[in-house]
Amino acid sequence: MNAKVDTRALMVIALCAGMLALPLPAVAQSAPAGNAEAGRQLMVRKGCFQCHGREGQGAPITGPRLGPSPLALAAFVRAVRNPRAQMPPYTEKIVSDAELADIRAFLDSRPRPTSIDALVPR
Amino acid sequence: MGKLRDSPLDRRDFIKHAVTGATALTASSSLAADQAAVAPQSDAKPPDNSPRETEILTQGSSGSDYMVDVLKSLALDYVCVNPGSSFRGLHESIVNYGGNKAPEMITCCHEESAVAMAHGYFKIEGKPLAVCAHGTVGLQHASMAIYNAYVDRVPVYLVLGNTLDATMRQQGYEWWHSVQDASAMVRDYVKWDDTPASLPHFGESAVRAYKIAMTPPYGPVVIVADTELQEGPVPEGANLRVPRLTLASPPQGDSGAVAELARLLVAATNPVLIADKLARTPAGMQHLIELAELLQAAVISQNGRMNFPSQHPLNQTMRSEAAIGEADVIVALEAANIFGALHAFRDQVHRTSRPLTKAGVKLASITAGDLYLKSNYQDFQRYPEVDVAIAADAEATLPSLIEAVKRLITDDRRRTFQERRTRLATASRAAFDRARTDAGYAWDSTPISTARAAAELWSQIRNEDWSLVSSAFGPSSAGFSAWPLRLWKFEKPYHHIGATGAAGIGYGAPATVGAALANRKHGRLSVSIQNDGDLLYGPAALWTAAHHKIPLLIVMNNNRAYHEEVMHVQRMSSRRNRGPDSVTVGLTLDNPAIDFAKLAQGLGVYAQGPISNPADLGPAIKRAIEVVKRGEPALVDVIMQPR
Repeated sequence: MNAKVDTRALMVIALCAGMLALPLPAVAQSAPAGNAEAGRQLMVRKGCFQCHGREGQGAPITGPRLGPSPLALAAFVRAVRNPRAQMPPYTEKIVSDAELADIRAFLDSRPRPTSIDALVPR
Repeated sequence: MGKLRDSPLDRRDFIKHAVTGATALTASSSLAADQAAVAPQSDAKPPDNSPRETEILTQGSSGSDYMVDVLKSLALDYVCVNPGSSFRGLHESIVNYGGNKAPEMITCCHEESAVAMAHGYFKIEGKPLAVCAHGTVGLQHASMAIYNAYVDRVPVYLVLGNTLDATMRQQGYEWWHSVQDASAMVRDYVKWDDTPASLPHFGESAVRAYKIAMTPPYGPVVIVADTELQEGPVPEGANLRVPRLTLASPPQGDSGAVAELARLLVAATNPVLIADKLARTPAGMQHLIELAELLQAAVISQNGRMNFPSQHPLNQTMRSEAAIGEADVIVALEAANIFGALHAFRDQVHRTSRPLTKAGVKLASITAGDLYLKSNYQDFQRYPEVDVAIAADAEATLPSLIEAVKRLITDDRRRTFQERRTRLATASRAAFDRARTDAGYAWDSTPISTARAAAELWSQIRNEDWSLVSSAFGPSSAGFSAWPLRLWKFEKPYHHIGATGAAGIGYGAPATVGAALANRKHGRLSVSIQNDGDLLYGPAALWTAAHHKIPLLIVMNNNRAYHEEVMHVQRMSSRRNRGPDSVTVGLTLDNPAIDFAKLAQGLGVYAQGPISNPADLGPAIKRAIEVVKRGEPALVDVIMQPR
């Protein structure tokens, strides 16, 4: 379990990886609806949750937030197939376009954030 | 050991000869004559070492009593010990002759835990602890923790037992537990070591070792206490005295270089101060605050120490990439990994680094690391191409830099600085607001999100005099994915203890116990966010906490995996287009799930859990804090999301 990558460098990378959550150029598409429940299971089975959390909420060091309001499907698929930052690539052999649509549907269905003010006053 | 006094050769003389053996061998002619004089006769009988009828079985003085006198002169509060026969003489002297006070013995169940306890203790108290260990098997156990301390520039004072005189070793295990050069194994990652050949030599080297350990850059040191010196009586006429300790003042930066750096900083449009292991003492944080506010400069803490208040308006750590990108002058303060701070690393098939800085940026460093490098273990990171390199202790140099800056600031510059402060404060506040929003996602998720756990814990401790005694940063040791650094208010020097050093796992549990031991006398609430994999390296540290009544709140970050490695192997499988189906093989800590509450209870620690419902977490922590306030450790096992 000894860290192989400098943790502070990872922080910098994670910040860079945050670009994944930024809007990419709009891509014309007719997005399939996707199955959110199937997407929930795929988040775990495909290992997405390992860096992004079970609900794609993101984590400060390892992976940005993915949902709710994920990227448009075409941009989402592009980001998974050809990641620009630290994320490893996931080809169609590993996760199909249809499965990505399901995952995106799950991410889109996530609730808005809860206020933390009660526990963490300003 | 009475029989040893009857040995035909005085063992102290033997040790002296052994240590200086290489030199002695050059005196060939006289040595040859000596050898002829003691050469065995062909009809000689085997030596008879059986006791004499008038054997003396007790002794009135002991070398290890003197060793304790020396250790007491160093004001070592505790000595962490996993017992070993090679320091039995010293052990007995500490508890009887020394009255088991200053140093008081702390019972540890592994030498790695003993050293890590000393490591954690120093991070709070600023004083080294002693650790006693076997020169062989004990040091082998301790070596990982010594390496962590070395990389973290933390002094640990190790005393190793060893029997150099081969003819005095008991058959069997004393041979396995003896070594020719005890410190050799760790010499690459200790600052200094010595093998004294006499009690006066021990006195000088023991005091010298402390002085070296406590001269920045700090580091672990090793003194070998030979069993003969420990166990034998003090030689007649030895006239022993304890040498006086005078600590060296830390090296300060050259005045010309400091003046040059001050000119750069005052003239800069966007200066950035990057601090890693800067704050050796509480004064370090105050100096950095003063310098930053004088210049209204951005500060980025790499969190090797508690360098800067986390929610200070000038703290730009949460937007470090943006701050570095804007900077025209960057000063690294005890930051070894300057290259890493200024570049984005990409771990794909072809590993690449992208500079985050803009063209023309001026870089400066102040670090005692420039005065102290070793070759084999390469913790010094990539070579930093800086414009000004000041080889000095940064904390000791900041006061002169502050004065130099004050002399150069004009009213015009001061007005510009105030505008900069407003801009930085706005950016910092926006970053914190984003973090607060981000923390609220997956709020009710099970397993519990790392952000929710950090918020629940903060809610219970924020009105206490708290101290986070686990590492606050780093995937392998970070508490709750570093959410505390985003959500909690870190303001006081003891609010966190920095990083592990070398990220060697097994540090966490014992280091937190050591830090909590230091906090005990200050009445602080010590809080640890404990990773599951780390605790399994040395769970008996919990017993040490219970045995010595060390109050400590332990909240498990139990993701049931060596999760850092899960991400690494998943990266490999994706790169090789093989998919994630098997990547957790060899990496999960499940089937059966480990019941950390039962484990802790078995070691005498109050414990609850496992807790997987986020609504149950706050009340569980509250109950545990009540136990801690009674002066005991308490553990809450929490089933967490991996990140």
